[in-house]
Amino acid sequence: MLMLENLTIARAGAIMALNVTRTVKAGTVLVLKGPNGSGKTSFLRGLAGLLKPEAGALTNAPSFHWLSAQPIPPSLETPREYLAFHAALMGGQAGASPFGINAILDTPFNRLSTGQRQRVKLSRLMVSDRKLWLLDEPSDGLDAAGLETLLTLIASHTDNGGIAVIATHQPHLWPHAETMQFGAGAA
Amino acid sequence: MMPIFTRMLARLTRARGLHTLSVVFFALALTAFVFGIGGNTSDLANITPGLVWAVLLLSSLLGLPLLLETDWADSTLDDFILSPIPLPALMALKMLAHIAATALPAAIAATLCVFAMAPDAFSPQLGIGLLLGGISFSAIGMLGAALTLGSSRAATLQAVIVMPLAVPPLIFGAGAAGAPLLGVSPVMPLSMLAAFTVSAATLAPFAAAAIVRMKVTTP
Repeated sequence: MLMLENLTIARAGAIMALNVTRTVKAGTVLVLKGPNGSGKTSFLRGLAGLLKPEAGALTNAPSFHWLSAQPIPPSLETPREYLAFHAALMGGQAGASPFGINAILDTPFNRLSTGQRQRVKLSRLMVSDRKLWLLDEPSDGLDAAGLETLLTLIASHTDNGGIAVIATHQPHLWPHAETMQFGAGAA
Repeated sequence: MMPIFTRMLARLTRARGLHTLSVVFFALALTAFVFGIGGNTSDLANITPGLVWAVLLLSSLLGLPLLLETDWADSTLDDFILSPIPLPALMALKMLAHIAATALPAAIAATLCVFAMAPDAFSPQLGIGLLLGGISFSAIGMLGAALTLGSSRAATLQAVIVMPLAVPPLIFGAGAAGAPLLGVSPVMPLSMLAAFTVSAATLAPFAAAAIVRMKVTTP
């Protein structure tokens, strides 16, 4: 369970979310939607503790994974090294990925497509077991099969009592999720 | 810890060839000085120790724009902050990677250059001094890289920030390197250099961690 009490998040002096009070129960998908620049990412960064809230507090937050929307740069690094690095950083183990990346584990990122790099990034969710997933545009660049894997993975995560908070421009992918509107039309 | 250090080092060496750049820059800069000064070997022998120290400092500036900027751009710094490993420890690893990629190859190149150009000034202490100097320049450079994160003129600012802070190790280091030519003991300047290096390398990761945390988390 994740409790937000009067949480106010601002970026560069502009209020992005004002006095948000909300309880996100275990097993919930919370979709943050809104136009570009409306503060979805800032809100997620606030939840992750990467942006100091202007006011209010976040309580009961379980351990979490944070996946930013920044793509993996097309460097000479390989997915195997990338996942080993993140596993070491998070104190976990690089395990099997449901995203079908075994064949490309030793191919440098500069020879992988945007979607393949996104699959590798999402595989970081497997390096350690965390109850809360904070995902910024996780569906970016994925093909139909990759998208299907992502939806299945998130569904099984929430079925096991996990929480996923997702900032996305494709809210229709999670039709049964709780939503939070940013920008025009925000409550 | 090993995969973390390996990636930090690979980001500086494999991706950007910083270790080769340090050595090549060193050789080219020194060659340019030699051509500019002329062929009087006694002049050259007298100024070589000071010259290699100045070039060592300049070569340490090369990698700074890459040191934290790539991690900032692909949000690896977020992951550093969220890691259970303390941020100062990760900054210390980052500093070690910079030392391995620039200070170590440059100090070896510098020692060989002195051996070739001014054999009278060559001594084991010289190599130790150059390595200590390289470490302190990396430690100071870490602060410069952290302070200029996200700035569009990062490279210029880094040079301006690092240069004044690098003057004490430069003076003690060049003093120790030139001591044999003057017939005096290098122990005093070398001890001062060692003291400076130890304090800089111990404190810089903490300072860099505080600056990085502030830069990343400030709205």
